[in-house]
Formats: sequence, structure tokens, C-alpha cells
Amino acid sequence: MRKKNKSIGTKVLCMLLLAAMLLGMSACSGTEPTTTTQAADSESGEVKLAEEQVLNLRLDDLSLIDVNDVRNANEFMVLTAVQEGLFRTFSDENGTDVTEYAGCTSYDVSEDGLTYTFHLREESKWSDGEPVTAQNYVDSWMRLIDPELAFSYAFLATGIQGADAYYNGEGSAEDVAIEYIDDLTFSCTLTAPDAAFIKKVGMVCFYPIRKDLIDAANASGGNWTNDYTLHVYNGPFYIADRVLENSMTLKKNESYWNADNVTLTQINMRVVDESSTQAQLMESQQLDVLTLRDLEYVDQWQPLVDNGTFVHVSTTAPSVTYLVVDQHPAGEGGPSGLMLNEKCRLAMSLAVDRVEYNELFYNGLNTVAYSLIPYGITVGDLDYRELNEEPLAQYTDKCSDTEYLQSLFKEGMEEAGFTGELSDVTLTVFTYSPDVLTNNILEWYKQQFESKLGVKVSVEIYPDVSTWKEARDQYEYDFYTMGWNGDFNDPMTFMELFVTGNGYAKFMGGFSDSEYDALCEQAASTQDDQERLELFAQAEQLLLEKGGVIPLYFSSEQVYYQSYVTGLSMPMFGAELELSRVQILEH
Amino acid sequence: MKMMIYFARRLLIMLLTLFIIATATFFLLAATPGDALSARVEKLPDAVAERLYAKYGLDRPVMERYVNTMTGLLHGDFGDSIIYEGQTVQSIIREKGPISARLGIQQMLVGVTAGLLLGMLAAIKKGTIWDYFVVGFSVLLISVPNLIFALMLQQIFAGNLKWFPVIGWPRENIWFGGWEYTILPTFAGCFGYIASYARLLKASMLDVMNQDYILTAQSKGLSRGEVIRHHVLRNSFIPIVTQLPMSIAMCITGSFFIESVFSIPGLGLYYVEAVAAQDIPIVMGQTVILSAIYIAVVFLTDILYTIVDPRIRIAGGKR
Amino acid sequence: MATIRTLTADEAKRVDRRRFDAEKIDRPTITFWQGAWIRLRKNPIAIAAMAMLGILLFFILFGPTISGENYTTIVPSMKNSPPDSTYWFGTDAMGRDLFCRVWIGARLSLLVALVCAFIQIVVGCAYGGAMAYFGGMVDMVMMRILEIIISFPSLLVTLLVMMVVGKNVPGLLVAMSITSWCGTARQMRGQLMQLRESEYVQAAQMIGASPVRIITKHLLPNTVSILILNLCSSIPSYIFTEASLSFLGMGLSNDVISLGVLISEGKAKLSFYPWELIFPTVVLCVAVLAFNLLGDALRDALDPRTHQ
Repeated sequence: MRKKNKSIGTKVLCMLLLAAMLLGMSACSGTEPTTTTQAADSESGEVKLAEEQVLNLRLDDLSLIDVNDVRNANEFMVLTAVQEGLFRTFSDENGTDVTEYAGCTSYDVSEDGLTYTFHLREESKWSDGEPVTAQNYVDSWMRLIDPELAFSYAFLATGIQGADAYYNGEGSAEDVAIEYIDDLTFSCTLTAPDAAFIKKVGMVCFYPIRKDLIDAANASGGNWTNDYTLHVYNGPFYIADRVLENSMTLKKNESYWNADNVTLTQINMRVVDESSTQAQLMESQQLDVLTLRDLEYVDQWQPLVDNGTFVHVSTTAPSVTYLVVDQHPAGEGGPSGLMLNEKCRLAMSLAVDRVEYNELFYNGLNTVAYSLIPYGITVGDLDYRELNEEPLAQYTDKCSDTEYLQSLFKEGMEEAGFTGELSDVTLTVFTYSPDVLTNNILEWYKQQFESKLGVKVSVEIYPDVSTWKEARDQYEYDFYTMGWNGDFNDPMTFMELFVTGNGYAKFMGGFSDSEYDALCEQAASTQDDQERLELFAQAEQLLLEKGGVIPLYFSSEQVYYQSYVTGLSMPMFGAELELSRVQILEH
Repeated sequence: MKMMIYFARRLLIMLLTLFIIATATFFLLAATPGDALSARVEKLPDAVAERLYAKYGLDRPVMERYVNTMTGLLHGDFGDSIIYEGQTVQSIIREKGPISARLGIQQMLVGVTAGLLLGMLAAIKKGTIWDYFVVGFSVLLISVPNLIFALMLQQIFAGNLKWFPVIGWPRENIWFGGWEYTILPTFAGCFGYIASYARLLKASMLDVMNQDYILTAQSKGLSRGEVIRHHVLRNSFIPIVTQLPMSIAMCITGSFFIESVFSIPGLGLYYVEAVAAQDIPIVMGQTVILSAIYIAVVFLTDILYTIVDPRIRIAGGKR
Repeated sequence: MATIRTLTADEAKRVDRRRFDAEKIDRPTITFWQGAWIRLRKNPIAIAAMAMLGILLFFILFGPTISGENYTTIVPSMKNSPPDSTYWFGTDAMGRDLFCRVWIGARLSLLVALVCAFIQIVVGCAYGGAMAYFGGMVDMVMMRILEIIISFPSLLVTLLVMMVVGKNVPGLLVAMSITSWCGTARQMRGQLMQLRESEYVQAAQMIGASPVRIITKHLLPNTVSILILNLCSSIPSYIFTEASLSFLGMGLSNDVISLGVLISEGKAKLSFYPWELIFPTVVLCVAVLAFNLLGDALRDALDPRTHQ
């Protein structure tokens, strides 16, 4: 999922955060509530609801309101609230993701695992009274992979037979295996079994559409993608008002099939840019939920959390941020010419003081990473991180041992055929249009490597993404910051990035090692969880000890909400906030 | 007849100016590295990216795009926004223009009134402590960035004292409703007007006071108050009257800082973002429209000069 | 026969030479500039402004040296610490000494403003001078060009040029100077044309004054005062523009230190570490204030109409 807001987190490339969504398995624990205030009270049955059921949220304005063309976290949140697909994901009181049937009541999978048949909910209706039919879904899925429209999430559907060819302009629409059976039933057939497919189709881009309205709008020159008045809704809410780049109002959709269980009558969303203003609004109860951008408030608001005004939830994202090192053979070891050498890379990896990094830039609120696979990721039922110590954790004492680090780097230089001194080496790090934080981080890298390895570091800043991309494709860097949000709950989602020939290799430094490849391949074909876990552990150790990537931290988000808000879901994989069951208590 | 020729010539020059502005804006935008789609296509397969570029015509050579854009401009069709799909310049200006205009006009009314009063004070009490106070005060006002004032006002009057809402803008009755929202942004943005108008009036009044006819009036035995009311003030308003249209033209374009601090859905905020995102149709359209207003106002000002100051004639020796 | 008399020393009497000075004006003659300087000195605002500028200049030049702290070294343990005896202005988010950073930043901001003002004056003079000198058709064409450039929305041009050239110091210089010289050029042209036609210049020509004398005695003094005023009012506006662009995220990127960069860094910290915003802002305001006040005082001092 792309985050519109770059101010938290380093320049984790947006595109790589794509598809972090609904693909997680429900066993994964995503959120850890740090306090239990009102949540416990609501169990006792003495809940008194406030008269006004209105929720106030902060908004990043949407680029468009088209389910097939969904792009950013904010669009996921709003579209999940006003529309509905086959499933809906909530988080339970432990913060675990729970996926429930929504637009469909059941589905069948054929024995070969290729054909999925969906049985739709009869009472689902659009806000203009029309029933939601299988044709609406078929139209949507076909529109998603329409080559003319070029939607960014189309790749999620390319596992369907004929879809890939159609999307790439080589096949025709008739050959795509999505089939309308009757008004409440449709099916689709895959080219190969995909256990994650059922998780994918719950995503916003697979939500049903009203093709008749889109066609009518296009025919009359209307602006369907952005004009909310031309839309109809099948979700718990509908868009009642919108001011571009400023605000949006949602109201309860009375024709929603489950409207009886929707308590909120209205959701007000406003664009507020300044983080101090956001905080003021939160303190004066003009905002009910806020994901912090300025982490300084964590300390300041602790008293408010303690006295029960706010509830603080620290959510863990399935996400890791690391330094990519230029190992592409064509790059010849980057501008320094040394990055193909594993000793040089390892020396860099060990030199980075991750604790200092986390304290300095994130007030210690992220989790320091000495490994690639984040906490919470499982292999079957086995918690991967709990069973495997982080491979680089044993080297933490080397971090300040400059003598060791320098001799290691020097060894690497000699192996690579360099005769000069450490001070003759210049490592290049680059970025494009950086914000204050990114820039500070780059300066910190510079100081770390210069003081510990005795090399020089040059910081190159490109004016925009396209010139940066060009430089990256010309291998004009030694290292840079990058991150990855897991697509599904398995170590493979992270491990496969570093397999030789992976599609993302050009972003990920291009680590290539036959032993690593073999281990990953073996893990992919193995059924036994324990065995897979061990194979992954070996592969991870190998990758990190060869300095194939330099992990920095696993991310967390600090979410605060007023204690009179209950029923708020913050699923790990899904909309940032799931609002349909929110209730406002008397306060 | 002379008048007609003059008008026609001015009109021609105005059109030429607009054309050159549009051209320069277009080529500057074209010369900027990257484009509105570059961040979006990074994650797409090449074939898909190409189709996207084709959809917005961004795959065409620069000259062809230039011709297309200019032809569109001729017809008043600036094209759809690339970032906000389906939005046009007209729809954005229709929606956001009144908001920026109200804020700007309120700021101007408050600022100009206060500025004129202070300027008068400084001129009448020239050389006294009042004069130094006005000079010092107005210079102080323009020496502190707008944004700092806005943040301070917001913190004190909305954050601490809770007299006004922290952010927001009236939704209904755009022109006259929701005064409590508009007060802080109005004050935060009026200081520039206070300073410049105080200065302008003071200078102009001193100028007038040195004129011979004032001496005449004084020697006729008129009291100081009468002289100032009947002779000084009237004549020293000439530069003020001619400055006003320019202020109005400037104020409807909106102020980025104040709009962003108070979350006001105005043009200023949107314009800067459109430029940063290289949303060519929006930037082109807004630039041309705003420049046209500006140029028209300059023209109007020139005419106004001739009306308020009979010493200036339009045709022939111009100023 | 006539005899030739020889004067004796007694017959020659000393006369009082002062008798011949009756026509002389006793008061020392003062030039235009001396007069302006005297008037300026009498103006308390001007003195205050000059004092402020002097203090600023002192700190900008020597501030980082006196404090003796290093402004680039990251000290994680000292991040966001309040002002104390070591860190006089406190430290920033990376534990770097803010006192040094503020003065280093002011150095760059002021330098950028000075260079821009210099460009504005040079280009403006050249262009305005050329218009006034050639006159006629050339003047008209150049004037039209000038009017077109003035009609450009300046914010747009600045933003676009920054994007084209890059968010660095040369980019900033180009972006801020590209339209700023127009006003100066117009003023120069007006002033020179007026002077050329003025009676005293014609009179000087008539009594055979050389062109060099006319230029140095009449044209220069009368235009220099305009230029000085221009300088005084444009320097603060450049300082301002630099800072505003940084607010917008369109100014210098923060691998260099300027007041604008420091303010935009400090802005987010206002509620927690106010000194990170306050110190750079105060320095900026004082600099702008000093230039504005000085400009105001100079305007009075240089304007012959205000002599009374």
C-alpha cells in the first residue's frame, strides 16, 4: 500500500509498499493495545451510547474515488467504508485480523484449487435500491485488468486464466476466465493454485462496480472517477459531501444490508497538514483518532493515556526498512567498486548503530532490526522470530569496535584488489527530493561510516524520482535506504526479494548467491512447517552474514483515539481503520 | 478616436503578454525533470506505463504538446487535472476562488483601514513619538513572517484561550457565514496591508503638505484640522485609490501559508501543490487566468489614474 | 627729472587679510551625502537599525568561532537539549549546536540576499540605462518586454525555476533574480530620463560642463540614492523569500544551512522544543527589521523634500 504521507519513515519507496493489504493470514497478531480502558467496560453491558454518533477523522484527500483504481492508504480507508466487496476485515480485541463474509455468504474451491465460485449475499443493495449482482463483480474484475485503463493493482488479478495476456494487450477479453453464472453466483479459474488468492479478492480493487452508471457518466461527459454525486454505494456509509483537498463527510447508508449493526450516523474527515494542529484538534476532542506523525507526542500524551482520556495503540506493520547495497555485476561494485565484496558489505552492516538510529530518529518507537523477517510473521503456526534469534544480534559489540571494522573492511578492499588506504574510498548514497528527516538520516549514515570505517561518504541528492531512477539504473550508488511491506504472512514474502533474478532485484541491490537460491527453492517446495522454518533461518543467516542487505528497523505506527470511541478496528492487513462497528460512548 | 486606438493597442499588448506567459510557463514545466506521472508509473509494467502516458498525451513530442495546449487555451479548454482525475481548472476556481477571495478581501479591508488610520496619525504627528511608533510598528509587522503570526495567533487564541476554532472554514453561506472561523486567518494575513498602506498614506500626505496650495490654505486662516480634512486628505488619497485594485488582484490568488495553517480550502494551497506535482493543465490554466486578471487590473489602474488625477492624460504623454 | 622712489619697509603696511573674506560663507559647505549622513545620525531609528546590523554582522562573522562548538557533528545523547552554558541556543534534533548553525545559516541567507540584490541592481541599471540612453524605438521595445516580464506571477516563476535548476544555491539565485530586476530597471529609466530633461542638467550643459562632470556631479548622486533604497528594501525581501520557499518545501534542501532551512526544521518542533524555531526566526526577523528600518530612515534622509 502506498502511503501518501512521507513524513514518517525514511524514503521507503512507495511502490514497494504496494499490496501489503489484505493478504495476511488471520493468525497474525497485528496490534498490541497498551491500555485497556473502555474496551473492558463495554463488555460489562453498562455501555451508554452518546446521542450524537459522529466520528471525526483526519483525511489525506483522495486522488479519486474509483475502487478499481485505488492507490493510497486514505483511499483504502474511505472506499472500505462506503463500498463493500466479498469480505470485510476487522481486528479482534487482541489485535488479530479477523476476516468475515460480507458481499458473499460462501465460496467453493474446486478440487484442483483452480476454480473459485462465489455465492453472493441476497440482501446486498446499492444505495439507489438496485441489488448487488454477480454481473457487478464480473464487470469490476474485467475493468480492473482492462489494458486501456492501466490500473496499478491489476497485477493482483493476473493469476486468473487469460488475464495476463489481456492486460498486456496480447489476448482478448473473451478469453479471461471470469464467468457470470446467475445473479448471485460467479466464478473464476486460475492458471495455478494460489493459496493467497482468496485473500487478494477481498481487496478494494475487487469491489463490485456499477458499469451502467460509469458508462452513463462517460457518455454525458460526467466525471465519474472524482464526482461523488455520480456514485452509488453498497457499504455501511455513503459520501455526503466533499471539498477538494479539504474535507469529506460520510453518512450512514440506510440501505446497507447490515445497517442495523452500524451505529455511527456520520463521519467527518478533514485535511489537516500541520502536526501541531492535528495534536491540538485531538486534545480538544475535535479529532477522535490520530496516527501520530510527530513522535514527540508519545511522551506528552502519556498522562492523557494514563488518566483514560486517550487510548494508545502501537501497531506493528509487517514491514522492514534496510540499506540496499549495489551488488549488480553490471554495476561493478558501485562507484566505490567495493560493493561486490562481502567483507566490505558486512563491515558496513556491523558498523551501523541501529539502537542509536532508532533513538535518534524514531524516539526508540520502532523495533531495531538485526534480521530481515519482522516480528509476528509465522510459518504455518510457528512464530518465526520467536524461534530464530536475529542473526546479526550476536555482533552488536562489534558496532563500536572501529579497529575490527576497519580491518574487516581493509581485508575486503585487498580481496577486491584495492591497494589504497581506507581514506581513499568514497561510498556514495543517494536519494531524491528529500525531506528534513531523510536528509538528517543521510547525514547520520555519513558520520557513522566516516567515523567507524574511516572511509568517505558522498551524499547525492537528485531533484526528482525520474532522474534518480536513471541514476539507479546506471548503478551510480553504493547504498541507499529501501523498505518492504510483506504481501502475505510468510517469510517468503521477504526472502524471495533476494533470490537471483527476482523481479524486484533492481530495487533491492541484486544480491545473488546460489546457496541462498537453493535454500529458498527448497523452502518453497517443502510442506513441513518445521523444516521450512529451518531452511528460512539458514537462508536469512547467509544473506545477512554476506552483507546482502543491511536491515535497520521494523516499523510501528502510534495510533491514539479518544477513550469514548469503541469498536475501532485496525487490521494489520486491510484498511488502516475499519469504521463500520465504531460506537461513540457517552462522554 | 485617440481613446479607441489606445484601447485597441493596450488590448493587443495584453493578449501578447498572456500568450508569452503561457508559452514560457509551458516550456518551463516541460523543462522540469520528471512529470506528473513519473511517481505513479514507477511500479507499473512498461507497456502499461506507456498507455498511461498516451492517455494524457504526455508521450507526444514537446512541440506537439505545446500546439495542443495552446489550441486548447484558445478555446478556454485547459484540460483535465492529471492528479485529480476529472477536475478542470474551471471547476477548481469555481469551488476555491470564492473562499480565497473572501479571505483576501477581509484581510484587505481590515488591513487597509488600520493602515490608513496609522498612516494619517504618523503624517499629522510627524517627528513625534507617534510617528516613530507607527514607523516602527509597521516595519515590525512586515518583518515577521506571515506563518509565524498565523501559528502564534492559532496557538494563543484557539489553542490556549479557545476563543475561536483551531482550523476550518464556513461551509454554508460562503460569503457571510461562520465569522468565527475567519477571524484568525484574517488577522494573520492583514499585517502586510497595514504596513504598506500606512507608509503609502504617510508619504503621500507629507508630499501634499509641502505643496503651495496648502500654504495658501493655511495663510487664509483655516485651522489645521480644516486644512487636513479639506485639502490634504483628499489629495493624498490618489496613490491609495490607484494602489487598491492591485491589492485586490493580489488578494484573490490566496495565501499559501495562512491557508495551510488554518486548513482553508483556497486557491493558494492548491496552486503550490499543483506546481509541485507538475499537474500541467491545472498550472497552465491557473497561471493564464490569474495573469489575465492581473493584467486587466493594471490596465484598470491606469484608467483610474486619469479619473482621479486630472493631471494625467491617457493618450499622448503617458505618465 | 623724476626720481624713482623706493618704498621702505615702513611704508608698506600689513593689512588684515580677513577683510577680503567678507563674501565667504562661514558655515562649512556640506555635500548632499554629508547632509544625508547628518540627517541619518539624528534619526534614532536609523541608529538603532545600524546598531542591530552591526551586532548581527559581528555574530555572523565571529559567532561560530566564539562559541567554539562544532555544528556538524551529530551527538545523539544531546538531541533537542534546551539552551545552556555550552549550547547557548540549545541543540537541534541531531544534537548539533544551534548557536553555530543559526549564524552559519544567517551567513548563507545574507550572502544569497546580497548577491541577489547585487544582480538586481546591476541588471536593472544596465537595462534601465540602456532604455534611457537609446530612447525611441529601442526604449519602447525594451519597455514592452519589461512589462511582460513584470506580468509573470512571480511565485510561479520562482517555483518552476527552482524545479528546473534544482534545490541548490545557484538554483535559488537564478529563481529569485530572474524577475526582480524589472522594478529597478523601470525606476532607473524614469530617473535618468527625468534628469536628462531637468533644468539644472541643461544649465550645466549650457555652461559647458563636460559629460563626465554631469554624470558624476548630477546623474550619479541622484540615482545612487534610489539604488541604495532599492538595496535596503530588496535585501529583506530576499531573506524572506528564501525562508518562505523553504517553508513550502521548495527552497534549499537541508544539506546546506540557511535560516529558511533552520526555520522549516524547527517549525515542527514548536510545541516541544520551541528554541529550535524561535532562535532562527528571531535572527531572521531582526535582520529583516534592521534592513527595513534603515531603509525607511534612509528614505527620509535622502529625500530632499523632507528637509525642513
